Amino acid sequence: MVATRICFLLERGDPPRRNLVIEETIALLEARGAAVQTRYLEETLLRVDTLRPDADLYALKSNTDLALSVATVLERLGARVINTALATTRTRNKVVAAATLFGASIPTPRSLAAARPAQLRADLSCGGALVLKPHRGHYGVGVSVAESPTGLPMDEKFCDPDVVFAQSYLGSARADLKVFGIGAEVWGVGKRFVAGQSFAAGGEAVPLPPEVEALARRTARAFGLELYGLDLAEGPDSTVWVLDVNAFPGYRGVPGAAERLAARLFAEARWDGSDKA
Amino acid sequence: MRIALFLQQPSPEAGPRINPVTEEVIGRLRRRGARVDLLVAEEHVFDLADLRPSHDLYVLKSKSPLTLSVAAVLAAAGASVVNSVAACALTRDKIAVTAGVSAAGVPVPPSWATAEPARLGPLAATGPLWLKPLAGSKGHGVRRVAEPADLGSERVRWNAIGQPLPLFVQREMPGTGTDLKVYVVGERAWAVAKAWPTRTDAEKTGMPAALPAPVREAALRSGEALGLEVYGVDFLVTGEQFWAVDVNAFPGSRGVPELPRCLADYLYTRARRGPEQARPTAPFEAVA
Repeated sequence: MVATRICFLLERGDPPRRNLVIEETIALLEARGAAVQTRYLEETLLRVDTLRPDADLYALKSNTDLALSVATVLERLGARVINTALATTRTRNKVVAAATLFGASIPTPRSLAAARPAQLRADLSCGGALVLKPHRGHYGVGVSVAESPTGLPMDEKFCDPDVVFAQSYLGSARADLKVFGIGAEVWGVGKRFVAGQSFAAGGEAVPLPPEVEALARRTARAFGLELYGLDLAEGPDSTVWVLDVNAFPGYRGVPGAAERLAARLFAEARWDGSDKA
Repeated sequence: MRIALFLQQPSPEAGPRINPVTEEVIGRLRRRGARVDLLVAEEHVFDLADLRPSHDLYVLKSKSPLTLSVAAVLAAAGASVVNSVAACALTRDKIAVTAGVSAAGVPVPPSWATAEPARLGPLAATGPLWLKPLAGSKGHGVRRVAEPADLGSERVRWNAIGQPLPLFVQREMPGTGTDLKVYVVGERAWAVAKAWPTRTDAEKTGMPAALPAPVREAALRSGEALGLEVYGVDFLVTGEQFWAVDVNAFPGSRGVPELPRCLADYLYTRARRGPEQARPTAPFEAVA
């Protein structure tokens, strides 16, 4: 019997970082007999014009332009990619992600898109504080808070030269809850978000109320995500807001994450296209 | 009928960029009674909870990141958009274009991607290469690498959030110094011969040229693979051989006298038909 072929498209990161959950997942998949490849596309010379799928499943655990391009091509050539390139792209563009949340009536802070920070002066003069983010950012890179027009970053200093994404700043909200999902299963992990360090911060599993579990599943459906992480905030009136949606997170703090991830990926790679149970 | 044209604006002081073809198309649509609004996404602040379609058709002459983001939101809310956002996004990505049109059976030069310039050395040692930015257009940033020494100044480049940027290279193919540009509107196609790079205004306009049937077929297949409706495909042609080297969504399309009228007709019809008529971006079907 031919081994099930699973290819991880990975991102090295700067500085390079190891993900112990992914390493354990790969070991578990190999123990099940899968042939696992790991590819850091940026470090290879990839022939583009003859690119064809060569795995039963591609696990897209990279947010780089090259990984998303290649995943898009492979998927359009018939490969199975988890999460799909389309769903991953939807989460990566914060403008599209916010609109997806609004479209699905999922509570999320008021969100604005503009070309330059200076365009937000009028809004800040009459509204509350804004959190400014690069529209394709992640890990909190380039995030700043402006409480008034004078607090806006200079246009030329803002790290995204094309699009400024701004959200109302939920100052009094508790924003220390992450929710991780694998298919229909969801887990809560309490952690304090620290800009630039979120991938390194640990956390403790916390029980989730049923309505938060339902909110997480609804969000995943709106984006078409199978493997996901959400940053949530709870307002003073107990409204739970979705602040950020991430495709294929690190799952740190999720009990038995590697076993569950390996089981999900193995089943997906061997799925024959019939209706899933 | 309300049609919105998203236009490019090189700088806030410069005003929107409208080329002669676009200007004629706007005039023709207005004479047919359509209200045509000219929008520059970069001039606005968009409240994403309230962004809803207000026009029968959105035309993406600009493909800036903000325009594409806003158009994606409008399309998700039911707007009719030409070219579709998915097709524009694919067409901006040279890896997707090259792999997609090649899988559809269109000849392309051998092509590679990496983020590490040093990996291109062995390739450059076996023949000249063209180094192209992944999301570039109009030849900006394109550079010839004649030998490995020409890669000396290339370093790994990083984007604003600390990710390495991909490099895209293509093998130099024998050419005549003249590109054959094929402009397509729906199923209509025309060819213009242009020198490359273009320097003078006359060179930018090019000369109408015969369109050989195999090249026409290749151009239409390229558009189908990427889900495009209004587009251009650049070919290098040498004798009977040809290679697609670039695809552009909604290009300048100068040099074809009847194109503005056909384009105005096409957009008018699309605005009447609505979003269900949008061309789907079909999966790439590999030709064996």
